[in-house]
Amino acid sequence: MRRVLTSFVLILMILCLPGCWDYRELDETAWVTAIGLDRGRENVLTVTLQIAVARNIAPAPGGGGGGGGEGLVVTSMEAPSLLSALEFTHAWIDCRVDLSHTKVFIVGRELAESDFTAFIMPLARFPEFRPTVGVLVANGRAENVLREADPVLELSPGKLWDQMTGAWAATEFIPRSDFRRVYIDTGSPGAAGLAALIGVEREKEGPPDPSHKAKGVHMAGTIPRRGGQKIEVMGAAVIEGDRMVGVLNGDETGVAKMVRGTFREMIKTVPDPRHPGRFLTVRVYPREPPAVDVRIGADGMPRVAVLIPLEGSILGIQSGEHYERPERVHQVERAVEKSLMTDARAALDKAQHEFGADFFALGYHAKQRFPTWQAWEEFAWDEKFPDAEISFDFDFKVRRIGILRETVLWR
Amino acid sequence: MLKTLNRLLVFREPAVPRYEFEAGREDRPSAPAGGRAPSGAKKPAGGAPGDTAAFEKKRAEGRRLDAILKGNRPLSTSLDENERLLKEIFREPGNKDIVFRPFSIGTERPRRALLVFFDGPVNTDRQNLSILQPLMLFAGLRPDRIPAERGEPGPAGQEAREELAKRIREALLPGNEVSPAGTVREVVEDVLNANTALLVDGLDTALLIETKAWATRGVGTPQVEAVIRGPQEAFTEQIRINITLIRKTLRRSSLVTEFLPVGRISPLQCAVMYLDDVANPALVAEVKRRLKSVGADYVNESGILEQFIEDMPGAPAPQTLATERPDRVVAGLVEGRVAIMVDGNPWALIVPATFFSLMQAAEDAYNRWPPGTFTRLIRYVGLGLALLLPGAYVAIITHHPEFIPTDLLLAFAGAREPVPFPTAVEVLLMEAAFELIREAGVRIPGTVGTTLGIVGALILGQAAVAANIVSPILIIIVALTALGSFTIPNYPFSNTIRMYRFFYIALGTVLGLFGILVGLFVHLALLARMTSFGVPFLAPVAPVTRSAPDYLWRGPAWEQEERPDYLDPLRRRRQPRISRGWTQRRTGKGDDRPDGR
Repeated sequence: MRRVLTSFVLILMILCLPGCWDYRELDETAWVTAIGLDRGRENVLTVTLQIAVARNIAPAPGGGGGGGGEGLVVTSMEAPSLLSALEFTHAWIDCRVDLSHTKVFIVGRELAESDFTAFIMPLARFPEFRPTVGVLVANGRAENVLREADPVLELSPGKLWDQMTGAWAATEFIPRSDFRRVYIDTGSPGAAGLAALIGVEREKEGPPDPSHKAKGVHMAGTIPRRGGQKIEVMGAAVIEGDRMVGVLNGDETGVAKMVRGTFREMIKTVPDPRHPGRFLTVRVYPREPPAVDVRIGADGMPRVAVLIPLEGSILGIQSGEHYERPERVHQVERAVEKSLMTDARAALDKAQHEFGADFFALGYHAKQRFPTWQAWEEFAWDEKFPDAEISFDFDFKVRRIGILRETVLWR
Repeated sequence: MLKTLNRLLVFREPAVPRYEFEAGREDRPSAPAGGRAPSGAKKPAGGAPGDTAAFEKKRAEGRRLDAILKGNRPLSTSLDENERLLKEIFREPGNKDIVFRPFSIGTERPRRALLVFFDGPVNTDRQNLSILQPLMLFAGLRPDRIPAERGEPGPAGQEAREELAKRIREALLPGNEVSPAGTVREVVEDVLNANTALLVDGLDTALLIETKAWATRGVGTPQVEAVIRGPQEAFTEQIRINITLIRKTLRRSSLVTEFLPVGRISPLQCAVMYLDDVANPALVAEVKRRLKSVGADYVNESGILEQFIEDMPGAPAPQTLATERPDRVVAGLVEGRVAIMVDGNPWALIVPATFFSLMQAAEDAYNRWPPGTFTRLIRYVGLGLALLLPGAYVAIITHHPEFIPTDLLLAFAGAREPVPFPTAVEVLLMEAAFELIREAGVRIPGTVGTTLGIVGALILGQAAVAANIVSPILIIIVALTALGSFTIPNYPFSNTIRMYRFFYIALGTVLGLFGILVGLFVHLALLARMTSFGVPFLAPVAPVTRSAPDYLWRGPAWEQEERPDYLDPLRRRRQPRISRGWTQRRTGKGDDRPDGR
């Protein structure tokens, strides 16, 4: 009995030693769901925090709590660095700020174009910060994006960001841009980072012009739309070295994703080869991972051949032409390949001649040609990339023709 | 309230009751009226001299009578002397239960005789018809073998006395169980067992006649270990009935029942049952050795006996498997375990018990193996919930909020917003409330039981949340924990688990998941160190031994081919490799029938 008592008391004493230092209540914490970073007005940076108000998002049934109030609080501050800004918040946020549930990290375009890495990359060391956080570049000021971000279809801001950044799997025009990827791509020789572009809905409508335009020519901040929530994600920012070098529209982002192997699904509208002014709509999936063949020529210049195997189904044939017949399906396939080829040439032109940045991450394939890291570094892929000989090839196969065997023609 | 008032008004109880006897009080008014003074009052300081004398006299008398019983004093040939001694032992002038029935045996020259028995537990019809009637009326019917009356004492009379005893036993008592006894102690013990002792003048042998008729409950359905499929019989308070229930299911000549009396003040029969050709003899010997050595004062429940014979009294789990189901006992016996039963209570102990046997329910085996395995796994999930859920909840909420999906986290945080207590306090409060309700549910009289449900539902449910005492999520946690603890089939084990979860709450509060893992590690180490009658508690997992697929995973009945290796039974194999003989094509060679015998 004495032994039992002694051990009990000892256990109690041991339990007192650690002292609960890490103990923190949920309701004494301010959960930051998004962080915005801009060039500062009164200091180096303007840091914007979007904080979820749990009381209003999930009110306690017992009453008491507000309910109906705002689910979000957005606060901005001028600070020399992000982490010092977090400490700063104690002055006016009564709960301790916690970044462990931060979903996105938005950098204003102005800041990104001048100095991207210096302010963001140090976060990799910070334990509260998850490497799965989405890194986005605002087409404008991040502060504005966060002020306008208010979930319409959901209650919780966490879900809003999860859904918006997770849309990369459902379309071609949003790149997969979590912190880990951007961090690795930006820091590695042989690849440029690709961060999703976010923006606030355009302020005024464009000039009237009801001609056909592919959806992929747009990007966040210019999407022709009305209604819905104020923010939008489309296109990508290319980050090379320590700063952002330019933006990609939806189609170019799609090509980059196909080469990188993160493409999952898209709906492509291509001109009907036999009926000008009419269009075919197809759904496109990857068939196999892209095959990238890199050879280093005798002159030391790389020659890259990219083959992208795709497959898909016919969704709509406006002209009613019987393309779905087995002997004519290839006409659809060629049309899709041709259209994709046009996008690819535009993207390649941007990569090699406009930005000089390998946002296709072809360097990762080229790297395999080198026996040692030193050899690879000496090769200086980033310098040779603009002059490299790069060819794209698409191989599209129609697998399904939808649930109509033939279009019925109303003549 | 009303009742109390009524009693006070009508009966006018004295405000301060006067006690005739108070231990250790200096000015005791009179000698102790009856009963023993507590041991603490051996020598009351300054007590009245007559008082102490009476106390000492009573003590001396008790010791003398105990010595007679222990000393195996033989019976006297004198009926009067035997009667006097027995009356003294049974405290006759005060004790109204004991009956001394003098009569005379209707032989040619009537002989004085005496029946000694307890009024109540004996079958009076049997006494009348098969003891008194033949002895009083028919003793003279067969004159040929009536022994002649020769000289009373001395060696010559000895032969005649034996002749008479034999004649009474063999010809005059039609009862089914009659045995001779030569000592006072045997007579007393048998009379205490509700039999009747027949003493005849001139004989130094008493005849003990079976007349037991204890009041018992009938065989009922299991109250604690209920099953849907399987036998619906449970043990009762009568050991003979319990053994009968086992024999009814397990008809095997090698099933041995040994009786060992346990307890000093009132030795109760403990039955040790085992299959002589299956159970390891060392195990049987160990069980008997432990039972024989128990010097307990009074053991009336197997729960008390369990505490006397378990390997490790401080260990964090019971080391015997208590069951009220005869079929579970039989299953244990067939595996090579030993069953211990105590007279007068419906719980049998199966030893050795392992962790996995404590987590099994009888029904696992009766269901087909997929649902059998599924329900068993559910039970392990329940065990985990009961032990760890509240602790893990506190740990994750307060130390590792990054574990929780953001939406859930915001829901938790929002629900907690109006609650004024820290999470740990909130959890302790609710768990304590639940324990109160559970304990009250056991203790509450059945007639007012329904109120408990209302009170419990109100406290644990609506009101606590509405009053912002706890967050609604916590209600779910407490409910899941409670459900989990009720899935543990062994009630003592379930109680233990429920107790240990408070340790985990403390560890989770202080150290987070790290603390819980440390606790789990220590807990597992303690369990691994435990043994039950020498068998490691976590066998066959730690140490790894061979076993049929019947611990975590419940294999089909025909895969249960071997008895557990950790029991080291005399017969290892239960069934042949192919026990479903019909699945094989007949070869004509030999019979592949299962070797059941």
